[in-house]
Amino acid sequence: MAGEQDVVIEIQARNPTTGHYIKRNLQTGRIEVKTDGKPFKGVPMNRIVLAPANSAIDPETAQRGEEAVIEYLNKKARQK
Amino acid sequence: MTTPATYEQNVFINCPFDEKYKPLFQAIVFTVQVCRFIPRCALETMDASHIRLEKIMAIIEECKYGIHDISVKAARHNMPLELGIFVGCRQYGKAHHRLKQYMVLEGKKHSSKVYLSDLSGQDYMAYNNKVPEVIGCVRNWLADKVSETVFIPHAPFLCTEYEAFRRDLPGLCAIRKWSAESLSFKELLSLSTPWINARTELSRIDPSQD
Repeated sequence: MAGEQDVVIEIQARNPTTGHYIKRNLQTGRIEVKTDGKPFKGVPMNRIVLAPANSAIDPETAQRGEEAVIEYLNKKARQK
Repeated sequence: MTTPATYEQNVFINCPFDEKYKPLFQAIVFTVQVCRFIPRCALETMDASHIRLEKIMAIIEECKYGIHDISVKAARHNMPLELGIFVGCRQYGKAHHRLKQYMVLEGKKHSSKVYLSDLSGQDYMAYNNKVPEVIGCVRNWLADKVSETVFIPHAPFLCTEYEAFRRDLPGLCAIRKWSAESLSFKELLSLSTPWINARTELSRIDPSQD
């Protein structure tokens, strides 16, 4: 957990549709995903938590969507 | 049917699903998600006839909240039917269904009362057929349903984020060889959920942590 004096440069949150943890570097915008269902160690968790996923979304579609978002946002971050 | 664990977070969205309404529908879905609720709608089921109706009734039963836009006079009349089912479920359902709540949206003020006069006395929220206004209506209604400790950004911020999502959508779809125009409801959620997680939510620190 970041202390008051720490500068938070990375933060993570759980994607409710896949159960994966997504980490974002706030300086570079680069995103990483951890697919084992466990959070990144030493990275503060965003307390803003989205609601559970709509159960109608099948795991394959959720996975494909997550991969597309990460690839796209990382591509955008590299272009900056 | 047993009550789902997510009953208190499920929001049934009852609106047109045509091309003209799509930006408004997607804005409602986006706002519901950012407000920490689960968007549900008839698009979850694409089966025909009575089986589809049964599934819609099951979805309505699973939702505590409902957002209904019955102001659009479409060729189909599914919206008033689904509103009727929602109101009926609240009236005649089980004990927890009595606490169901719904809002009625209308594109233009008083446009709904023209053909649904039985709803007179109901509070309507007019959005003037504009995306920013529908985001504001939905956000303000839902923000009232969450704990005071939950931080929900105000409508102007949500509008900016939604516009950013709309701009990113074609690029996101291109990676998957999907078409932004042909996205199914499930595909839309599969993109919007991690996008909100990665961009909107992760790019700021929740003030409640202070």
